[in-house]
Amino acid sequence: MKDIFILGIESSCDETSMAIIKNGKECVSLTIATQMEIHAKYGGVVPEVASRMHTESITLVLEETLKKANMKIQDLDAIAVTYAPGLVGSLLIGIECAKTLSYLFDIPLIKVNHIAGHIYANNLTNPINYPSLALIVSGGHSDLVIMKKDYDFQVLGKTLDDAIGEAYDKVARVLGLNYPGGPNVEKLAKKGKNFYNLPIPLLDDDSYNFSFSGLKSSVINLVNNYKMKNIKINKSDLACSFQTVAIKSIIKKVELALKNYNLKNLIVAGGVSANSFLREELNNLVKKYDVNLSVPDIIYCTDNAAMIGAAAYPLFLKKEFSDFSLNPQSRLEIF
Amino acid sequence: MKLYIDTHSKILTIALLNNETLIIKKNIDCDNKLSTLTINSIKKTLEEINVNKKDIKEIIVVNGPGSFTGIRIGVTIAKTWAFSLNIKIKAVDFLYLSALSVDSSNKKIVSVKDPKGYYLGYFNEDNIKLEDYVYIKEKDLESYLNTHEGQFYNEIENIDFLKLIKNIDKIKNVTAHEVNPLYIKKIEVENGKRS
Repeated sequence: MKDIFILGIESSCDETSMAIIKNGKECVSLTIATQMEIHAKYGGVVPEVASRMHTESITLVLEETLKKANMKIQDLDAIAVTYAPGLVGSLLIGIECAKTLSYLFDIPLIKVNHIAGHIYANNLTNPINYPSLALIVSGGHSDLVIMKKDYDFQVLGKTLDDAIGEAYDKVARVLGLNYPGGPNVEKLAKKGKNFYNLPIPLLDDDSYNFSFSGLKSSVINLVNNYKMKNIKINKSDLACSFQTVAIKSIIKKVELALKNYNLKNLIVAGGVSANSFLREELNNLVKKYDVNLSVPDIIYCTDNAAMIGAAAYPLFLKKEFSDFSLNPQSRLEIF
Repeated sequence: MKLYIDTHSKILTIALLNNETLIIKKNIDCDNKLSTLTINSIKKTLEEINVNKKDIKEIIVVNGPGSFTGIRIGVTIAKTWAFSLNIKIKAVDFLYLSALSVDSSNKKIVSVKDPKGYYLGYFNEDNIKLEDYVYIKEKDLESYLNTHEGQFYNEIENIDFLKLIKNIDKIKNVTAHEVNPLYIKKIEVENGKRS
């Protein structure tokens, strides 16, 4: 069969990224123009600033991606673009660029859900085996899903309140850490020990759901109480205590699902899959149950377009193409 | 053939021009559907008059001022088009186009209105810009007009394409990468406030 080359475009938040992916699993070239430094000045992503930056860099990123792959647009078999969920104004830039290329070169347009992208990022590292248990952990998601085949999602559990990444970011703020909060909490946690006694979320619950807002609130309350009593907090220890409890509560649910459904493949997706403590704990868990663990390479964990090209491949094979009325959607979920 | 794209307001304007004439012009009321309609409308317009998209040798895009999202749609399409097919591109702002479109023996104050105020351009009778463009709140219009001599034009709806064609060489060619929206208005975070 002829090799299939897909251009992936991702602009859902604060990275303008494009990639060329061969047969859904090999990254030929990847460019990521990050806006992180600019948003760090404001303490978080400012949507209008993000949209402006995407518009400025979109053709530069395209040029760089083609150059690195030594390819022309004519060589591509499809243009894939993130259309949901994300910041509408940001998504729009990637979508308009994708539509223009699809129209001008008569190449099929494929819309990709950002979360599907995170899941299929795994194919760039280890091909997904079915059936698989998928753990999705990011700034907007904490889900446990069974996948029996491509784009088939059976949801076992979700977060009842905050997503794990969101909890990390809020804890970062309480600890006075800079944006991006999550990775900074992790860095700090590495230097600390699990000293503070924080409540384990959903301790006696046997569902597959998650909850992080109670844990987050206890961190905030603890900081406030200590402040009132004028007791100094060891921030590294608090970061470590938070991380230990948060990650262990995830591991507990993953273990429950692996056991009850007797699954032998586990894939992890989303920005928080870059967290090394989570990776370590998952590694320990899969050894115990003789399960195959797949975690994307770090570069494919955070927002990038390679994962969009990878996620578009099964859709390309099914000929699930979009027309030029494609519109961004801020909240549309795939499951 | 040149393709003109204007997405600065909810009326999408697409036109095709050559060196002498306006071949076709379409005004499409998009009402917040610019994103779904722009490429489709360009496609339809070209098909209607039997022009191949590869026959477009130059893009002229209105880069503002106006709806931020709107101008980003036009600008993104235009710069992607020009870059990917390696054709010429010019960015032109709607205030200059407005000034070109009105004849006056006096100085001209042209405007683009948004829900809270006006983007204003101050030109002489030869369409030379006299001041940097400004954005003012609706309540400040009167004092602006009191301090600026000339004829005020409240938002021109249809620009004069023949004048644009005549003056097209005055608008410089740029690379696709350089084409960016003209916002004028600062966003809140730049004023020190979190939006």
